[in-house]
Amino acid sequence: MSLTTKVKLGLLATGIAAGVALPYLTSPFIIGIVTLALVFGLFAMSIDVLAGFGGLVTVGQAGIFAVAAYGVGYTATHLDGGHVLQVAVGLAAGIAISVIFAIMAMRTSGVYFLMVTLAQGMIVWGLAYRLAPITGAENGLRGILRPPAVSAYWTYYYLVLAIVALAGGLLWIVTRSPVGLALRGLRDGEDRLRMLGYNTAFHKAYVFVLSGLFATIAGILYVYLNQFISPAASEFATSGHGLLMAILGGTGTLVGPLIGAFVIVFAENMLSTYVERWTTLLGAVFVITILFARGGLVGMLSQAWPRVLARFGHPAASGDAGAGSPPGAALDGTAHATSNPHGITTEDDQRSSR
Amino acid sequence: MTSTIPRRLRTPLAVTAAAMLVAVACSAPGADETAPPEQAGEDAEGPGDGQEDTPTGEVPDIDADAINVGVLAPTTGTVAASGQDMLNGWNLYWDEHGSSVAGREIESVHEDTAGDPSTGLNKAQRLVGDVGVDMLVGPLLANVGLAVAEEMNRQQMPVLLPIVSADDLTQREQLDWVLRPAGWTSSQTTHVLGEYVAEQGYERAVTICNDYAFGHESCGGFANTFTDAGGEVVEQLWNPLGTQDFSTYIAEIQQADPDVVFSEQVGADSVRLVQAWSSFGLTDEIPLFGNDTLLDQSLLRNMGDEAIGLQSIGRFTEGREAPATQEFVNAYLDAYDELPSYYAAAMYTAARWVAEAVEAVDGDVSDGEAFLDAVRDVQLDDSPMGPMSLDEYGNPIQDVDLRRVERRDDGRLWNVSVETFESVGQFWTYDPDEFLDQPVYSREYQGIE
Repeated sequence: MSLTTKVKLGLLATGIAAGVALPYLTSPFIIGIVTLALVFGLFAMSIDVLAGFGGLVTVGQAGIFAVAAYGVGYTATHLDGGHVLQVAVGLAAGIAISVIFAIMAMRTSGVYFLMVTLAQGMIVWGLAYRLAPITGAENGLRGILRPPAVSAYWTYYYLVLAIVALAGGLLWIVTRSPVGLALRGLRDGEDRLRMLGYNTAFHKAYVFVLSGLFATIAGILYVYLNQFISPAASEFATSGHGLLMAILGGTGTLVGPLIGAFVIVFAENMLSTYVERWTTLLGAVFVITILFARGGLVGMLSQAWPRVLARFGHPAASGDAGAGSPPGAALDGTAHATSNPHGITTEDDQRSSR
Repeated sequence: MTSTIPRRLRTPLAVTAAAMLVAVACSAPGADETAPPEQAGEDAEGPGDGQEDTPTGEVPDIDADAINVGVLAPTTGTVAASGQDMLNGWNLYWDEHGSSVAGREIESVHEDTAGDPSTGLNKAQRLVGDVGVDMLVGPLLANVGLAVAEEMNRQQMPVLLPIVSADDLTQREQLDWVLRPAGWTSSQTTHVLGEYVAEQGYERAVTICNDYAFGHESCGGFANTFTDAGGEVVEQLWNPLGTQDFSTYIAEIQQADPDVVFSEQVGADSVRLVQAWSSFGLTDEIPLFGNDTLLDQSLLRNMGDEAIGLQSIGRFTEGREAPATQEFVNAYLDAYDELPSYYAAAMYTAARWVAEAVEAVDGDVSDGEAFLDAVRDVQLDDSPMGPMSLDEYGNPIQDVDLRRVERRDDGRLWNVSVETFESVGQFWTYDPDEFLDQPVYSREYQGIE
């Protein structure tokens, strides 16, 4: 087992331990924020599957997210359905809309894909505003109570933690499966993939629905967290937020979007208490991320790791002992080979060869 | 990290980053004039133990002996300007009257909702859970207010809504812990207007309102009483929020050939509609009547001669001659160098309402229900918005003015009172029980039989 793997496992264990211990350490408000960050983390991961692994930048994911949430909300407030029915309707609505969106978007790529998903998101937003009998229009749907077993803020937190961990694990497996390989193929050379006999449109649709499924789960968790849903959830800004979380944390890494979600959700809810111009600060962080760390926070850390090792005289990275000297392409290569075998490798290789 | 950036780019980038940080550290020009009074307000009357530089709403300085009021107002996002007005009005009251009531300090802790229901909900949770406030006042947007009210009602936390006007909160979906001191329902003022316009002899009206709940409710109030008084609504137009170009709507209005037009608009839509109305030459052809928000002072600041002479219905009239109004308007003008909008007036009046209720319970707000009862019992004989008291549903009975826009001697536009309708309730002249049997006003239901 290499040192980096040990570190990763250590971080994972620490993360889980911290997650489990958290309700004993901090206030209900912080737990509420962490729960929200976990929900948005899952949402951002669902975007990352498309944008980071497949190069399919979607800006309409909030549409799926909101449809699932409205499905739950409508069942709870208008049909008086039980919680099983609410979740079933939410899942069905989210998956159905994902399939429809997937069929609409499967034959496009690049900027056209982006435009189609933008339109899809706006349609859901428009309907959320217009279909007052179903969505309650701008006033939204209220009184969507959580099941009694998870009605307390901390029990709900554990539920969200468990579901997000499980969903994250599933996504990790998916991205390493043949489907994940095909997805990366789509990103790096769709034409080549088609030449090899793959049905790229089908693969896109498949991954789109898969990603939509996780956005659906996030939407259901979101509506039970707030016990309220309004068109704000389906706004373009929500999709944009998810994408920014993925970019900030590091696209194509899965754990990156989760970290990005934590940074952004905490900035929105905590920083704004202390700094009036928190939006500017967040903007500066985005700009700096794009310029200085295109792999996002996770990419930056995994690049920095070998240098930290070098500082402490670890043989694996002794080549870069001089801090000021530019890193060799070979070192960058090794760093990625061990810590980040997918995702940003090609992009960074291109950059170092430039 | 730095090594991934070409060397020649590093300096400019570092400078950019530094400049941004500086921009964050300093306030924006717009915020400059508004932020300090707010802090000064807390300082002037606060315990004086070194709060000089605390940013808005910093927690650690919370005084355990004080009554803590959580103020929710959006100071970022699309409605930030009106949110700032809310804070200005709220703080002006405590600056003027001192924050000591019945022997206890009133400490206001502001949180920014950013105009988003989810953020607003989290901020409310923070104020209640971490800061330990005794009540919440605000926010601005109906959807934020509804989200916060619903959750805080579950937690049995008093919520006061001076701005949020969603009809059903004090009608069909009342919440025990939610009251509207100095507040209103969207249709409360337009009920008055509909009947007034019909009585002036107008028979055929076209309405043009924003296509969302506030627009539906405002318009419903007008359409309901206008038709009941014998008028006919020949066409109802619904423009989306953020309409850039009103020319198609104007053309439709001209085609319908009404003898009067009613409009509800908010924000920049108001400015654009009034501009279009004037540039299509309709000012002298078809009388236009607006609701509270169409010609609110917050928008008159951005309007010119095209607004002069337009009439609207409203519960706050900055040009109302009563001393209570003019004292407030002049004090506000001195403090913030602009005339107060209804956001400011309602929050100012709400602050007084809170002070009187706290006085009534002798400074003991630990029993939320007793405090809310005190809020219900407050009677304001006069306020910048005139006399006010709550009906049994928790919504004010208040004076409503027909207003006309005029230019002041100092060049500013303002609304002056043309006619005052006293003691208007949310049900107008309808029987409350019969009224509540009707659905809430929506696009489908406008009270037209």
